[in-house]
Formats: sequence, structure tokens, C-alpha cells
Amino acid sequence: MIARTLRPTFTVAQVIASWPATATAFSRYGMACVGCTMASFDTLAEVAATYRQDLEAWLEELSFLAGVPFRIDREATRRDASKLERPHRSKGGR
Amino acid sequence: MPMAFKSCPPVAASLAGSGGDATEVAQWAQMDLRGEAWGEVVERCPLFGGLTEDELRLVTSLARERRLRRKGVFFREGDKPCALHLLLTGEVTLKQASVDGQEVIVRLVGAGEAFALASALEGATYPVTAEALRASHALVWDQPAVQELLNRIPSVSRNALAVLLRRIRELEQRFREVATERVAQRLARTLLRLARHAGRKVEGGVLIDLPLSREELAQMTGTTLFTVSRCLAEWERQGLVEAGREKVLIRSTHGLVTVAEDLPSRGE
Repeated sequence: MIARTLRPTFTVAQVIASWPATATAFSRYGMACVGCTMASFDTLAEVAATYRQDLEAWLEELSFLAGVPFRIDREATRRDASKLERPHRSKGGR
Repeated sequence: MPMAFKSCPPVAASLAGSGGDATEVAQWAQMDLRGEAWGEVVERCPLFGGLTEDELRLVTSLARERRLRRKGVFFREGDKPCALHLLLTGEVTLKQASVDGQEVIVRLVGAGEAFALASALEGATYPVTAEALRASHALVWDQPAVQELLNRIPSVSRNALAVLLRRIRELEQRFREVATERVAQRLARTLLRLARHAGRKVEGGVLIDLPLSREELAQMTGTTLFTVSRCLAEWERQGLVEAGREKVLIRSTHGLVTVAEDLPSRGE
């Protein structure tokens, strides 16, 4: 994956694989993401929410470590998010 | 970088014993169309890694194919002679029954994975029953074909050894889990394993889209249906999962990892 900026919708696994230098920014915040089996599912936004970190400040640090410019691209983020399918929830009656 | 393996011939005509009736003809037509895709699956399977194009062609030419519907059985525990299987599409459970009839799912096989390798090498009876969890399609190498592969392609023996060693390590890990971990922790691990295997990121979480009943989840975890239901209900209350019929949505991957790894739940 070649992306010019980090987006909140990127998964942890994508980010660490593309920019290994970012790994320290996870452990420094006490996040157990590096080596986690679910790293290929969880996005940066979800991680920030789980660990109650300010997403933008954290993204800025990750971008710095990755050596990419820090920019919040809300439009692209919304596009990414809308690609996700809605799970069909069958919650009835049991 | 996978090498080009375009000129894969249709799988050999070992559709023995079922002469050219109409359904067979239809299958042949499909096989020609799909030969190329199979080549890719075969090539990517660790058992056939590092083979030359000629060797790969030999591998596919010795195989026959089997298609089963959901709940169809590839082989039963105790059957022989054993054949090597490579699942092209679908999902297969390998089950073992105890003397009193209680079943344990030893392994879940996904597309691209080989199964019954050890039995095929050993030439003994199958130690497990292989049942299709959904419509499945596999390549099968019977005993003579397996022997020919081993004799003519040295890398296959080496690869087989590596694959089996990996299986042993996985089993050792599962044994440790069964011996030392709480049921909830084991069930969480089972779900995470399934998520890695067949999970799909969807809105609101990771969906495990496998037609597994709670009974089967219990058989994979080494526990009872009752315990699985109780755990899932508790996790639903905590907002970790949503458990539907034969479907589980992991709402909080972090929460479930915390249970599975017995992590302190910081950040929760």
C-alpha cells in the first residue's frame, strides 16, 4: 500500500507493515497492537477510541514517525468507511 | 512472487467408476474453465511450494476432484485407504468422536489448505471424519498418486515435513490451552482463530461468517453447548459480541483479545 497520508480507516496491520517505524507509537501509548492477532481488522480510529486517545494528536505522531505529511482527509475517511458492508443482524427470537 | 502457472491442464480423468454420464460431462466443462485458478491454489499451498512448473503440472495431473454439498462427507473416521486432499473452495471440519459418541472438532480446514496429509503419508486409516461445513470442492490424490508425488518430487517430502511440524506446534498450543486455560479464555481464542480464518470487517465489527452452530463451537473449544451459550450471552451483555444463529459478530476485538490473552483490561 502506498498512501501519502495516514487515514483513521487504515488498519493497524497495514500501517505497521507499511511504516514499521510507527510501531513504537503503539507501545508508547500502552497499546497491545503490535503482534496482536486482530491487527488486520482494527483501524487506527478504533484503536484510538478503545484506548481513549485523541485520534488527531496520535495520527500526527504516527505520521511523523512514518515520515508522511499529517493531514486530515475527512472526505477520504468517509469514503473508506462507507465501503464497509452492513452485517445482516438476525437477532430475533432466541 | 508466484511464478506464472498458466498452462495447467485440466485435472486428470481419474473420475474412475463413474463413466461419462451427463453430470460428468458438465463437470469436465467447468474444469477446463477453472483449470487456471486451481493451478494457483495448488501453487500457493505450502505442500507444493517451490515446485517447478513441470512438477506442478504433474501434481495437478495426478489429482481427481470431488465436490460435496454442505454436510457431505469426504471420508469417515476409520475409512481406508487414505487420500491426500486439498480444499479448493469451501470449508471442512475434521471431527473425531469419543467412545461415548461425544464429538470434538480437531481442525477447521479453509480453502487452499491440505488435509489428511498425515494419513495419506502413513497409509493408515483416517483418524477423523471430514465433513463439508458448506459446499466444498477439493482435489484428491489417492494412495498411488501420493506415492508417485513423493517419489518423483523431492520437495514434496520436505514440504510435507514442514507442514506436519507446523501442525504439531499448533496442536501443542491447543493442548496447553485446554490444560491450563479457563473455558471463557479458550472460547475467546476459538472465536479469534475463526475471525482470522474467515472473518470479514463490516460496519460495527468483525463478522465470522461460518455456518457453525453453538454445538460446533463447543466441539472446537472442548466444552459444552451450555457453557458456550452462557459465555456468549455474558459477552453480549458486555458488548463484546453479537451472537446470531450460526453467525457471530465481534463488536469489540480488543475486548475479546483481552479475554483471550488474559490481559489487564486497560483502556476499556
